[in-house]
Amino acid sequence: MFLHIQFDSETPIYQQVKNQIIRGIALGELSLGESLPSVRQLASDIGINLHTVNKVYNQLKLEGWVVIHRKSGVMVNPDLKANKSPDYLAGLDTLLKNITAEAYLNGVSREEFIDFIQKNYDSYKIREEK
Amino acid sequence: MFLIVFLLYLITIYIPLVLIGIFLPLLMKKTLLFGVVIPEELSDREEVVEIRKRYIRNSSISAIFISIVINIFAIMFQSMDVLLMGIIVLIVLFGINYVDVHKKAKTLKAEKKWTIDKKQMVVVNTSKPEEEKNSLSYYWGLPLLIMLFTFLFTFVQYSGLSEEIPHQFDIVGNPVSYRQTNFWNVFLLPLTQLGISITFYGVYKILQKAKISIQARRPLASFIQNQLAKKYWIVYILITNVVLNLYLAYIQLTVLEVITPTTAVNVLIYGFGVAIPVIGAIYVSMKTGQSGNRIKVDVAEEVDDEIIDRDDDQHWKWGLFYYNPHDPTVFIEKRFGIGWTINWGRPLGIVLVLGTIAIIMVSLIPLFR
Repeated sequence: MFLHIQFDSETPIYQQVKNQIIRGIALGELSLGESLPSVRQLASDIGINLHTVNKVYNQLKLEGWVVIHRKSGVMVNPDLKANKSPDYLAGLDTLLKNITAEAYLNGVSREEFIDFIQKNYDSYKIREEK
Repeated sequence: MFLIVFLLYLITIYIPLVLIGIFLPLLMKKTLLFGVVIPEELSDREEVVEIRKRYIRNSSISAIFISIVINIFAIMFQSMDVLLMGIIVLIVLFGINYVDVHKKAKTLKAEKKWTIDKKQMVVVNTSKPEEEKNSLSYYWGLPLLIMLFTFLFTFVQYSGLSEEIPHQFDIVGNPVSYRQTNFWNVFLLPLTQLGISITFYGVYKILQKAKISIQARRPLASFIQNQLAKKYWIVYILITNVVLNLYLAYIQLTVLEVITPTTAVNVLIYGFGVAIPVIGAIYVSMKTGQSGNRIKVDVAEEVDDEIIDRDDDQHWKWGLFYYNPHDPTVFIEKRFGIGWTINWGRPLGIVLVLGTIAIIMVSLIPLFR
């Protein structure tokens, strides 16, 4: 999978990498159990500090998207579990509050908004394959 | 006599070097103008083409002028040293011409604000390119075998050698100087083979690890081109290693006075030893271009005009030397020219370059002594 990192973006680089890896997993572009480049390799390919990549991998690990083995390195979590915890849902609600408010004020209708969400959901296939 | 040597150098080293120096810009990626990042679609603009023309015009005029002077001196003094020094002068000359247009390109880019409203993108591939554990790695036994043969053969002959062995030869293969028979003098060439083989194998390993530079506009195509270009260069250094070891083995046989070749054979073998590496390098350069951009690949990709490669000009001094201590990359593709260079911001890179230079120097000493 190709990661596209925009250097002059407002989104920090670590956030871009993290977002794209999570989305890559949902889209099936990264398969479960697929190995990811080592911290050094990825930092070198992008041309950034080791710390930045470390931060990405640690967060992805904490959230359960990847596993890090001392021997075989970093890989996409082979048995990804749905983690619909109350905490997560609360976070999602906060996130949507901001996004929907902005969309509403910008004149995006309810139908249009739901349409966006549906399109995205349609492209995530990994659960159906199981 | 001198004329034969002179012509050999002229044809196998001098002329190819001048041609590469002049026409190198034509092999570069469209996103780089003399080491300066530019948007791809501007590559054919008048002012950009003008800069390329300026380089080709200036470098060809100055190179041809200097070459004529050097060659006249070389013939006048009947000296090969003049010709060899001339090569260094030429390299400096091309360097000066390059820096001139590099600065022009930089100024032009700043004036026109070409990169201001573009998205600067770096694309990386998270899937590992298939590690080249293919059959090619076995072929590295070939130069090794030639070297071992030379060592063993020399070892067997050692006791039967006379008190002095030939050390330097003229082009027709007549010894011009002799050295005392001792370990170092006798095993000089096999040891040189060893040095060359280690260096080339090291380069092969480095090439496998070197960073793959993906163009943000066409990630997949440029990724494939890059992989293919690497493969071409790996085959090239392997063949060059074999040729050089064979060449040194041949010279060793004449040192041990096992064979006494005729002029024709000698000239032919010299030509083989020098021509294959030089012509090979030119051939592969023409074939791949910078980062493999001349290799045709059949990939359909959507091209977004808003995207350009990351503008990291500030890390590239004159577009030649990469210095970025925040980037853990040690080996990186050159901005101008074909091949790889190091990140001067990494201690490991500096150590490796100095080490390589030391090895080359040590292996070259016997050839010039």
